[in-house]
Amino acid sequence: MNKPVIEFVKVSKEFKMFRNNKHRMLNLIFHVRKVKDVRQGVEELSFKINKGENVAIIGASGAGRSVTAKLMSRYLYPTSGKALIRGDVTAVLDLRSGFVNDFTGRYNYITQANILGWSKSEIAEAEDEIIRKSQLEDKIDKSMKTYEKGDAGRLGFYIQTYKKPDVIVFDNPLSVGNFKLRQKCLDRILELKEDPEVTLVFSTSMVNLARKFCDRGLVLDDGRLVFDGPIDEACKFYKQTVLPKIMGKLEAAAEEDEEDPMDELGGDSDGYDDVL
Amino acid sequence: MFKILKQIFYDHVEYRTQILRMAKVDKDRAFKGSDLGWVWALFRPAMRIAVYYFAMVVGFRASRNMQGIYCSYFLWLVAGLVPWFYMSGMLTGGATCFRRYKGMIQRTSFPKTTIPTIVTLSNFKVHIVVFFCMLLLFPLMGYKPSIYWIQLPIYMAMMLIFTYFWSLASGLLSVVSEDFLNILRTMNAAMFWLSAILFNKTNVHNPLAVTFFRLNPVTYIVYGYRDALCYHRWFFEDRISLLYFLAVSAIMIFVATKLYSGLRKQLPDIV
Repeated sequence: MNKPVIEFVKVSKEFKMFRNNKHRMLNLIFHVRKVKDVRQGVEELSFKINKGENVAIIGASGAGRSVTAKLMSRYLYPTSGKALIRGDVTAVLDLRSGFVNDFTGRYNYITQANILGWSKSEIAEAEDEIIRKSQLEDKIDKSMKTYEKGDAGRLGFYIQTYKKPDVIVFDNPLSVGNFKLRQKCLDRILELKEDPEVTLVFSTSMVNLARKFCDRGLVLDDGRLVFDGPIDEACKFYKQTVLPKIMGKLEAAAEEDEEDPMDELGGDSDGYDDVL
Repeated sequence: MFKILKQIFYDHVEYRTQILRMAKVDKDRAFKGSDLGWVWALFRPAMRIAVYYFAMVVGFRASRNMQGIYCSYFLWLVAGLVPWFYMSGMLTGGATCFRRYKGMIQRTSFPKTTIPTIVTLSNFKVHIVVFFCMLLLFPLMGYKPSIYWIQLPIYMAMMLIFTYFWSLASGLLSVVSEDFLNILRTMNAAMFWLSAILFNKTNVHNPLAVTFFRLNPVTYIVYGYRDALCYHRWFFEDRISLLYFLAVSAIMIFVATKLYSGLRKQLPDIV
């Protein structure tokens, strides 16, 4: 039987806070000086994701979604436990990551593709297609400073999702850019979802998106895994158990806030129904 | 220590193409927005050399105390200043490498051990251009190339290895403490005067100063260039200085790998 592509065994990630830099330095190098405070990113996460699965990590802001996505992408290291990732991982966490505004889109494309480890022939082969899909034919040789909002994000998205890796991790990919970008991103994610060779991990606070792309859901609350099961049940659990708890906290903290907390937390009124 | 050194080696082999590309990006970024671009890479050191030459020859009459050199005082000065320009850039530039590549550390899985190399190679590209211009000056001023020049790549390799580990160690320390970076900026000017670049170290007889010159890797590299270009001496002739340099480099490698081993997992959190 094949081993899971992602296997978390009691993974915890904590961020240490120090009184000042001197204390941080002494602690990091000589392990002396007490830590002022510890912020828990995630706590004792244990789960397995098999090849070809489409899994949503559902949680409100601060629940540990991004930390989990970064641990899966090998961007962060766990403080304790084991995070085993088998195979190539592409992480779509920040669409503009690595772009330098002073350079042209083409220069940034070549650099970005290079960082991702593409060969020269692969870069040349994919160039036209990525530029065409990003709709940057007229702007690709202009400085990125002149780009409109969403242009660079579109280019970044198509570079990062051009190749099909073993595992692809998305963290709120639709939280930036305009309607067109979101629509295109959705189409590409759906394509990847249908591929049985690709394992898709989708970190979101929006249950509708989670249902759209995934078959299984992991619900996080306060850095802990509180539910792991089929996506419909995971969404139901999130809405019925986690959301009311968070909303209660929010209401108590800021009663005067006029904004609907559902907008933030991803209830039914998540603003993406038009796209879906 | 050896585990980390092995990892550094494998990271560099695996990501060699990306490292070269990123070094190009780093350099292009430095000259971006300037119409003259690479001209500045030559004009800036040329201007500084001219100023130092004026001060030393006209002001201090330093050229009178030069014995045993096979070239003019001007070329002796250039042979010392060219490696110094590179090393002074790396003293502070290397220390900021992790801060400059914060995004890459936090949002990509690019190996962190290669970031000092990106900065080292980016600076080295400029050094190579200036270096060849310096070599050209010798025949232009009537001094033929000598067999001793063939040891220059050895000094370059030693300089690159030293600056890589220096960047790794100082880059990690400056991530943790801003004060460390300020200390380095202050030390940069002091190092210039304490490395016997403008005056001849053989004219200094104070035992403390002699020991300091031996312990100072900048002095070793500067005089390595001068040995090859001006004094016509082989690198193994001054064994004591070579041993001092190797010992200091070994300590630097030990400190850098120790720091990296302790901080690598926390680097994305603290950078």
